[in-house]
Amino acid sequence: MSADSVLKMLLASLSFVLTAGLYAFFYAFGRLKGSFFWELFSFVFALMMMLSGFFLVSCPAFTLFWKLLLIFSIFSYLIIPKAMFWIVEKIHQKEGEEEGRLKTLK
Amino acid sequence: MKESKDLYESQKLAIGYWIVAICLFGAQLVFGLIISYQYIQPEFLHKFLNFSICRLLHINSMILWLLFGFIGGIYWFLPLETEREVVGIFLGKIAFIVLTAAVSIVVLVFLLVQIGKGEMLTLWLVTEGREYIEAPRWADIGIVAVFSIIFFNVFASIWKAKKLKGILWVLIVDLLAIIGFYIAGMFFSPNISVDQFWWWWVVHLWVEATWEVLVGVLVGWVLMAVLGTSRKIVEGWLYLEVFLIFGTGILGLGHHYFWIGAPEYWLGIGGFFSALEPLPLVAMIVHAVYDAGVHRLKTINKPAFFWIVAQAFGNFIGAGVWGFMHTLPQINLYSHGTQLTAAHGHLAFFGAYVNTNLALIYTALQRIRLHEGSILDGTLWKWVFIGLNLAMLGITAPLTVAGFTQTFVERAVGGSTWQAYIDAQSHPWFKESMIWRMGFGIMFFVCYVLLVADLLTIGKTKATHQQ
Amino acid sequence: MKFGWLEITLFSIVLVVVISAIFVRGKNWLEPGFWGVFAIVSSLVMFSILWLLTFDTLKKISFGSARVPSPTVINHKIGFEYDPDKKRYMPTIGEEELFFGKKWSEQEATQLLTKGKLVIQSRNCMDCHTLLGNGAYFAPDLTKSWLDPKWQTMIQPMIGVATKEETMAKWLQNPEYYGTWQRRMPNLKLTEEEAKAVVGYLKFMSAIDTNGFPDHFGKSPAIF
Repeated sequence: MSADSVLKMLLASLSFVLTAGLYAFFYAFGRLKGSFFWELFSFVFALMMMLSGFFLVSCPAFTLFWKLLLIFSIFSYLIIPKAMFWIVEKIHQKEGEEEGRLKTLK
Repeated sequence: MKESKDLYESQKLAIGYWIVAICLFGAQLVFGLIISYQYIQPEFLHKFLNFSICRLLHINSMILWLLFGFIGGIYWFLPLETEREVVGIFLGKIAFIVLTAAVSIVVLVFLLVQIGKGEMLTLWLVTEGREYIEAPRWADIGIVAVFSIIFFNVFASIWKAKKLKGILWVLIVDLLAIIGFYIAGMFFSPNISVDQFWWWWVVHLWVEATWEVLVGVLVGWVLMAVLGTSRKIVEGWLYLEVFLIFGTGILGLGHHYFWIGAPEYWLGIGGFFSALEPLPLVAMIVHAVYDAGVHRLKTINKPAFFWIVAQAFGNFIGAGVWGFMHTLPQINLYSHGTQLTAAHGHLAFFGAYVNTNLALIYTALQRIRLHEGSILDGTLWKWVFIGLNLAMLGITAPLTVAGFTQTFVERAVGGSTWQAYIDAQSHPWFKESMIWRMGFGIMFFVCYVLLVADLLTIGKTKATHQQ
Repeated sequence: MKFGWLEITLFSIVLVVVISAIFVRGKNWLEPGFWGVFAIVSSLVMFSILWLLTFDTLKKISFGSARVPSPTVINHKIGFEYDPDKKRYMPTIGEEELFFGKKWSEQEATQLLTKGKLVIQSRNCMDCHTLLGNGAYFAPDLTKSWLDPKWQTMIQPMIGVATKEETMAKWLQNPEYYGTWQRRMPNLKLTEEEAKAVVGYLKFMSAIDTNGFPDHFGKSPAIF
């Protein structure tokens, strides 16, 4: 493996997880504010995350298994924000219901 | 602290632990500044206080102050959870005094004796010479003894209160694991591969498994105290967190076994699980944003709340981003043992543990200094919060650049030899990074001083008109 | 162990999911108890697998195994060569050579290495250097230090003794006399016996199979 490619892989894996986090952050922020703009803005990071991910996948240093693992990560990072937001909403909704019930019981 | 008359005895003990913790935090920073200057000017204190000694004190005081902070957190919240005084509090106080005295002796020996002859006696009395757990063997045994007392305090209190469930159950198991894993580091082996194999059991399984879970417990308590989050949500999250941390973290230990002589299957196992480790951290971000947004930053304790939110992000950036960056074995072959590891360590410890400890202390301060229902806030803590976070980013960014330089020049091009090392260290990117790092280190220290000032004063004067 | 790592990994995950699924039947996934089951099961399963792997690993890294050689390896020439089958660098153990002018018996060699390890720990080597890549980053990595060309190209002419091991032992006793760079190693007051033990340890360590770390040590095509 050439020395340049080591450096590129390092940079790509840095940006891979960083942009995944930024995507999650802005997605949740946009959803919370009900702002389509911020949601759209978050997809910029999703795109960057996918680009970094696919750059890693294209590196010859990784054998098939690692490529599959990275592809799995890419898809996970893509759906985690949406899925997680749904889960968190659900939990808080349920909590709200229960609190409401407790109040009426009193 | 004159208002502390309605505190439990164990909460007073917690304050004692935190005072020592903050002092050790200061010591950590002083030694950190010395070694960062030694990177720029290697002759500084050469022969009197060599890099090795200061670095040893830098990392050991960090481990200790974080531990002191956690123990303080346990003693603070335990009586609130069990609704009774901690059982055997007298023993607990003795343990605190013994631990503090032992720490002082160990530090003095490190400073004054520094090194010993190459025989077992040195390992028992002066230093064990294994990174992070240099404390001599007698101190190791002492630490285990003290921890056993703390464990007894916790277990007996919970048992007597008949509350062995939920969060407290996790706490008990986790404390047992902390004691157990520490024992794994208490023997000598001439085989360095075996030595490092067990050494990582302590270092990794402490830092990346049991400490994370302990912090999960403490954060849960803080959330309940400052946000009024319901116990059910906290419990659900804690279990989920234990599931994810132990599920990926225990075998994630494999990422330390890549190059120590251990069999090849660790490359696969370690790489696989550590590639999964950032996934839950990304999920946590969504949750943190949601919580912060839903509560619209409304809380009775602004500083604690901000430090807890920072914890979620810090954990993601430090452990997730900087961890994943160099965790895959194909990359780690070149980046292992460079300044990238230092950058990752700084960010991860700060993000996950320092933030939690500060949140804990602020949570307690609100209870100590204010009447129920009034809000702990001020101006100084905001500057401290911004300053410490910025300074930490400022320390790690140059370290990352230096790490890239080292990975490229020393490892990938130079083949890791002595001369290749020197070439990397003399590279302008590396040298300038060290100066930037030192600058932000000073900024961090200044913010630390402000932090101490804030901890001493917050809530004392502003309490009335903040209501 | 007959299983590959991929099987172990997937098996552990499947085991966690299956066992947990059995126990959480009928529970609502929004209840804390649901995740409590997952927490307990995953901790137990992963920890048990770690134990099994620990036994296996300890067997494979004991003295005299294929990965960690016997202490008598110090009686042999050691190299670090690219292995095309494994696609990585491997230590090579060649013909016999004298070490400090003699052939070391198994017992003598073990004693020497034990001493060397004690010296390395008692002088806090790991708080400036890295060994097997772990430690501090203020000084060079010592994993393959025995094979470092600098001993013969620079240090040996400076000290003027006949062999590499004597060069290293002399240098270790007086590192401040033979400066190599602006960052100087402090004198850690090694006796002659201790210095020899450390050199023995460094030679032994260079023969450990580290899965190819550090890549192409001392074989850089670039001229430095």
